Amino acid sequence: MSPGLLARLAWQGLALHKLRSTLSAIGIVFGVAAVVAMMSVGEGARREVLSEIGKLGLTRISVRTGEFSDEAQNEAASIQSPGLTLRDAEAISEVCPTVASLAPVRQRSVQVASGQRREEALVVATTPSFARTEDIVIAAGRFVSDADLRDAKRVVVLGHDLSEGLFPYQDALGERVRLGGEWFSVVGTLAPRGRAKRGLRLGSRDIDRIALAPLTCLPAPGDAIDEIAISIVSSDEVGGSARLIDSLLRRRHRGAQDFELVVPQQLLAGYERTRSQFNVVVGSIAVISLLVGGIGIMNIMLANVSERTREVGVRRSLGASRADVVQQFLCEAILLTGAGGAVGVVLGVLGSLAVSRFAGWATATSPAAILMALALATATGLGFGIYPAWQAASKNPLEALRHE
Amino acid sequence: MIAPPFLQAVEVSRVYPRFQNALVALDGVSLEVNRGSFVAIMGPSGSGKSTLLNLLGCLDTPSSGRILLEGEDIARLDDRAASRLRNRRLGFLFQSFNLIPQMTVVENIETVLLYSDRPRGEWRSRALAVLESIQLAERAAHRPAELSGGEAQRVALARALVNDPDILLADEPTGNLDSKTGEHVLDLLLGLQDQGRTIVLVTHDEAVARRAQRIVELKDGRLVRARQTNGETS
Repeated sequence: MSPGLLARLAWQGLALHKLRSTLSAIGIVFGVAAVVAMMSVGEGARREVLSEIGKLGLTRISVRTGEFSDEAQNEAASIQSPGLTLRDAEAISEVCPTVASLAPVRQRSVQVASGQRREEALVVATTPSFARTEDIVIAAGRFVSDADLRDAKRVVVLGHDLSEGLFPYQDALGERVRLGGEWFSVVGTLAPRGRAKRGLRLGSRDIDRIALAPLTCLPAPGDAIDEIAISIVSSDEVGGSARLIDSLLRRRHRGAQDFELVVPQQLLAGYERTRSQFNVVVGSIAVISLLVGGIGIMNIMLANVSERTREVGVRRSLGASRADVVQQFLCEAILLTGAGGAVGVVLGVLGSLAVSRFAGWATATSPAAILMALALATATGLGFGIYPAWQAASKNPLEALRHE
Repeated sequence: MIAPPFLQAVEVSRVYPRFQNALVALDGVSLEVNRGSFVAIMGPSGSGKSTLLNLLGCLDTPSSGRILLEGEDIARLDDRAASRLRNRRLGFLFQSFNLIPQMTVVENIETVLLYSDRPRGEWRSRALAVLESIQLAERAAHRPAELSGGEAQRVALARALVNDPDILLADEPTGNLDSKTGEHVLDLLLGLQDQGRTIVLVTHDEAVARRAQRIVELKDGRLVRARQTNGETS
């Protein structure tokens, strides 16, 4: 029998009790919708996190001084830890052979002004090696040079968006901007980088909105710095290098916890662990939903078979084999769950769009997720329809014909 | 060499096992039906006539004995072979018509072809042609609930004939019809016999049975008498 004919036959059977068939499919509809929506939210979050981690770079390590608890600050003060300094950066460079490049960073949020235009920006004062550490791509002009650093020249390299904001109608190169209270010459602009949506804070800078200046232009007492940006020679070396840097800095800081090591590779591993837990939760919900939906389908199919016993007898007398009867009722169950699954997919996609629109979360519905949801729904029909179908087929044709 | 009878029951018994006393529905019945003949099986309720018809139609399996079609034992065919036989060589007519309610008249007729080897393209034309032959073409798109008893039985007859079977097995086909409609259905059956089909009809009505060429009488599961008739009109 052709699939089209089988489907028509199944539809005729199900249409006998439209409301009952619809209600029985609702379990599958909501089960599939929930799974698709959750997978979309999960996938959206995954892509965003991976993009953010990717921007941080999997061969990077960042040592930061950050906001620590009062207890940690008091402890650091009591053991007279100087905090993160230029000397820490030098020590790392000397001790750790796997460092490909290293850049100390001081950064402040300031207002950048040019004529009447003002923009909030992050001024990053650093060394020329920052370009390599952060994979900076120059769009025009040049980066901060060793001479700029040595002479503490008031030069600045603007991120793409900042440059566009300050100089929308002209080339920024050679112009002067005011950072805080001082004038700087623009010597370069950066190529656009792009950034993950709001909501994720893994610590990556918005390169498109930074103003890069020589480290010496932003002096700090005791050579204090805010961050040491490090690039490691290969991703295989990152774990060992991170452990070495951590132990080196602990020793230098006399055990004070006044710095923080951010290792994107470890963040990724941690995220993947969380992700697999999330997958287990989503999978469990899917299994439970479809189990409940499947039991509803089996219930209805058993009722259908019982009500249509005489029809089974008639078909058998007309030449239907047991296999034909199994095929017919199985097709009804699959049609029921398949249609429920299709409606569920639509609802799930709409649900994920609603989440994205109203909660602002990133969502992404992959074709693989849709196919998997439909396959699961169909498999549910197959699994829970086989027993009623077999019951129908195993009826004695004669007794089935006599059934009232 | 003498050709074997077209359809034959040889010492057929059918016993239904019960908890205490087994029910003997048929007890060593033998019957021969020639090709193109019209045989009526008669007897009171519980005599075993429907049981015999169901055994001849491979809807049931005898406890002992053989059912032969053109000399070949068809009593113990596997499910697939028995289904093929019912579909290709046998046509059934029931007292309660047994049309599938959710399908239209023409779809009911096509159901037989669904299980046949006939190409999909000829199903509709074949179903409509056979419906035309019993003057019910205008009812093709109707559902069984919209038909009178006589019309429903004629549709059932069209369904039985659509795959061009050799043998028509009719179980009290006039039982639910008024006498005039019943006569009409019997006339149709006689017309089919004239076309060369073999007809086996079960009835408890002597007047109906007399329309056949031969009457076989059963009582308490045993064959008690077999006689020729003139095929007279009641």
